Amino acid sequence: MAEREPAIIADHSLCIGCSACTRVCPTHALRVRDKIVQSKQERCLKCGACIFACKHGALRAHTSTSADLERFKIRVALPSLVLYGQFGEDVRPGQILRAFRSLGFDLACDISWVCEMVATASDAYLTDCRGPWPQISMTCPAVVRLIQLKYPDLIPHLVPIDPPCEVAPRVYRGRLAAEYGVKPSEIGMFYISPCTALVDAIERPLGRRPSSLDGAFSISELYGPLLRALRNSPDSDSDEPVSIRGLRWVMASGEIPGMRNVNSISVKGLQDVTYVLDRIEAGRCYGADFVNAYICSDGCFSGQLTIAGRYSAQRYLHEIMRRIGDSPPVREERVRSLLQTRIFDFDDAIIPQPDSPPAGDLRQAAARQRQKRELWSRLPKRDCGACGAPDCDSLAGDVVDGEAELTDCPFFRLEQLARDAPFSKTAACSTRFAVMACCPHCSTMLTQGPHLEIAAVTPGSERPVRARLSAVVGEMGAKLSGEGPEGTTMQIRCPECGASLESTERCSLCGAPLARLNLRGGGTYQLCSRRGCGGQTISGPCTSEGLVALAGYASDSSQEGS
Amino acid sequence: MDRDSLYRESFPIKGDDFERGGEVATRVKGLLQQLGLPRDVIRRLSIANFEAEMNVVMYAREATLEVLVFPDLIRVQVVDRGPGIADIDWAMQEGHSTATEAMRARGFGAGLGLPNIQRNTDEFEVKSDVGVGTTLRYAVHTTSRPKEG
Repeated sequence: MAEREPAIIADHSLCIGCSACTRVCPTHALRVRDKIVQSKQERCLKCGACIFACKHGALRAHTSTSADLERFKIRVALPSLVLYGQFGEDVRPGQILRAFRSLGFDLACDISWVCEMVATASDAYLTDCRGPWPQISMTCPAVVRLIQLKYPDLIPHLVPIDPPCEVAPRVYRGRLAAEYGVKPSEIGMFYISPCTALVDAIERPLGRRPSSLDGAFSISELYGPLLRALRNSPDSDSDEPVSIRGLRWVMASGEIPGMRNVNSISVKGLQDVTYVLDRIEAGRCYGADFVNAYICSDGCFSGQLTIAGRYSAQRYLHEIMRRIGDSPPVREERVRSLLQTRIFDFDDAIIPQPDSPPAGDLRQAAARQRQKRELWSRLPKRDCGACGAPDCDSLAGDVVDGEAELTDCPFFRLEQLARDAPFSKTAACSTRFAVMACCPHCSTMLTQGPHLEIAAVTPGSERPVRARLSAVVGEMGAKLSGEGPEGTTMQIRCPECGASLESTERCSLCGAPLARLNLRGGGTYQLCSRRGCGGQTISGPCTSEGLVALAGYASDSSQEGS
Repeated sequence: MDRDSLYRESFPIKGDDFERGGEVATRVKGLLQQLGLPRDVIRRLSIANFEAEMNVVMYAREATLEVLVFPDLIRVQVVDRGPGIADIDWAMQEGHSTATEAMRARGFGAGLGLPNIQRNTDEFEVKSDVGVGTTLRYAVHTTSRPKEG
């Protein structure tokens, strides 16, 4: 991996500017401007929610390459236990580990025993711990980053024990170096990860101590090669035993089963995690001693770099565990002696990284807040994300910070346009809208595709003529057809029920009567009944159902009247 | 108000709305963070706001929690319409709760929560009309040294 590259990278050529990612980001770190997704890195938890949300592959995990593998004499894969549940109930962990040999690795090591040791070490730590309660697990790096960012007061609650993927290389590196007769640094330890948060913690460790891993690959990128290798390799029964208690680590209930300190809760998914952290911060913690929190909704099984669905993967692993039977637990005395060697220790302080401004001039901060709220009050508060910020509040903040304009909001722009210039004089507006208009009498939808269908009667004639106008706001122009010269005032009717649509209001451009239609979802659309005028007004509380933004529709005046 | 605040914002709280109980305290915490206040101030106000909000959710019909930002302190007023408190002195005594020692050590069981609010704030006052409602006013100084507690 290139130095310090974030674990989630954007491919701008694939971004279509839909901004789906901005709305799922838990810390509102993403913006989409001009079809380019940008991330405020200091806010990003690397939770990977955006990778799930992006349907166009523009956001992906940044993992190690085969060139990274080449740098080492002995290449070791350390798969997350989630991998064991990816291939169905009939594929045993030992087979999966052996399959890594055909993928350019010299061997793959099982980390279930390390997981069990980490659970036991956490248990031992909690037994001697003096609080503050409850203690919070550091297993999920995204949760730790969330605490750094939003809950710095909870940092003393973190159990200073590294996750198994960090402990495993410390357990194996020396042993393998002796076995293969190479220097410890010549062994490359690569984690096979279910999520971007764990990958990211390798390049950008949570503390100052460098990661004990040398890189990471995702389960999803190795899934295909592993599946092929599993098909081609014969089964063998000489599997190394795996730890059942370790496997339970990744199961739905996390590291809690088998712990002596049973006064624990397991919390999964961002919403529940923030709910619980809010309460711990407010001094309400349900009397729990230990909180095991994962940012993903089903723990590591729902990491975005997995392949098998979280439900089937958990069922497979349950069945695999059942077939393995029980394994003897690791002896606590042994773990306690390992505790002395500090191999489990998270050996550093977690530093608060609040995303709020540093304590400073309160007057200035309050002024900024007032300004932000004033801007917010002028926005439509639909939180639609069309501006590229996740919601109206974020856009208001971006405007205060000089990173965006209120006119990035299409609704604001439309309102401004309606206020400042009549629609017939096409003003600078990069988004166009089509009206979805109905007859106020019979409610028939009169917008048909890009057209608005009406009936027009020329004075002196009784015969209504069907007319097709452009439904695009600002484009009606001189298209009101019918007999009689330019400037004739027509009587506009509903083509379905024949009722007159004449409004009590008059055109602001020429004074002729307006015809009034209802917009779907609320609001009215009025158009001038005089041929050649093209005056239009939109009023009332319109919604995106009544005014549909036309994507990719250029405001070029050459399209006028087309 | 005897002087102008730098910023003020009101948040409605509904009684019996356990589903959203704590939401206002969380929103106010976000606001205080945006204002760049010292963490100790935010922490103490968050505890007080959470207690006040949950009091409303548990006992009152509805309330407004108003945050006023002054150069040297943050004031919060919670005005509720509810049953009121018949005996404020009783409610203000710590330990009028059935919670165990162990629970109390972890922040539970402070009775109505009023003593907990008082412990975490620099100014505290409670007025109540039985059958009408209760008004809580509390403040945390932003410039003083952290209060022990």
